[in-house]
Amino acid sequence: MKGKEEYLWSKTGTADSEIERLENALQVLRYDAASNAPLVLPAKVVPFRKESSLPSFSTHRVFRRALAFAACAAFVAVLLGVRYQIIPNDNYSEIGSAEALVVPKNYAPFPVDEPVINEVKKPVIGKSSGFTVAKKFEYTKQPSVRKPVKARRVFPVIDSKKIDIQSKKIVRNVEPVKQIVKLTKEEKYAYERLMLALSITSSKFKLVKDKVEGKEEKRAVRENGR
Amino acid sequence: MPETEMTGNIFYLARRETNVGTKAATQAEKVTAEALLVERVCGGDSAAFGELYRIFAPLVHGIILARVPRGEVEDLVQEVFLSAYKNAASLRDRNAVGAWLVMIARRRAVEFYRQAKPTEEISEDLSSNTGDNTQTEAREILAAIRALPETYCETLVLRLVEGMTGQEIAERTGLKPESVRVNLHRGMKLLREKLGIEE
Repeated sequence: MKGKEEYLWSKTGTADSEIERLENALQVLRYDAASNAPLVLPAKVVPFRKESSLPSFSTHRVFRRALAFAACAAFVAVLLGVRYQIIPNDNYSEIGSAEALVVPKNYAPFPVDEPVINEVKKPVIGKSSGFTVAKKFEYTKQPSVRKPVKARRVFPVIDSKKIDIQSKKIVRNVEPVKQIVKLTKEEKYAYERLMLALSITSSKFKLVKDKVEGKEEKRAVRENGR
Repeated sequence: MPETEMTGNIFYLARRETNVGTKAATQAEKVTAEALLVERVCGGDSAAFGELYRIFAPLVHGIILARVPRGEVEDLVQEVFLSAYKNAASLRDRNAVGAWLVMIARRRAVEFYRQAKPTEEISEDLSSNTGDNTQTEAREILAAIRALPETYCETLVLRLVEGMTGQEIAERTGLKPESVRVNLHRGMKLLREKLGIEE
């Protein structure tokens, strides 16, 4: 058995009759250099030669390097772009003074406050451009007058019917919100007057009450005794 | 262990190492010779290419015969070598010229089936009616070999049709000798089963 295996491997040792039979049968299909036409190389075919001066790069390597270089270039370009977009242009005044500010004709820079623009003569760049070059803008802002704002006082409407015990508890727990009301001069004046009137009224009421109860006399006697 | 036995073992080992070394050196020389041939081909030496063709034509023939009808094999062998001649400089490892040619041959066989119009392969059998029994038997055996898995099929064609030894197959295809040995034995076992031959 081992000899037959050896025959299959190297044609040595004990010959295997079956393998020999197969070999003989298949011999007709064997490549025969004599019967086959010799290889004829066409005259035009020239083998590809490498240039000795060039480094031996394969196409894959060259492609990879090109790809890496392109990626690096793109990255640098993005970085530069981001840098110049993020950093604000602080040289605005310089550029303005250098007469390089380009403003459209119907451009209204500050429509809210309506500043008074002391416009300098605008030289026109080209006829069809539609843009003018402003030398300088001077804005003189008018002092804004603050309009008096009426503060609304909010008085809570309490419906006594709807208030139950539970809600009372809740109300007790809740701290009253201090409303800071800003009063105008007129309101302040009125408030003071009202308070004065109330104090006078209360003192008058007190005198009347004392008189009715006879306390006034006692007090007078006491004062005279001193 | 007796001294004589030890001495015998040492001599055996020394002889074995010498044999292995000689074999390896021979193989290295042979491989170098093939690499030199490729170098010459790259330099435009057509005689060197003729030598390369003489060495590797049976290998390429066997690889293609394992896949393609017999009538087409000769043309495809020529095409494979022509392609190799054109692209000889693209071969990085000059010592692996055999494996490179095998790869080209396999690819060319695949391309053949891709480009070929769908036809039924009956011409071989019909033409064999005129021939003798030997050719009929050969075609039957070849059909049985082609029905085997690709790895076994190639190795068996190279061994039985082209008459190469296992060592030669390993050297020229770039396969390990152990792999070739296994492929040969397993392939032969399967072929025997297919042909109904008892061991």
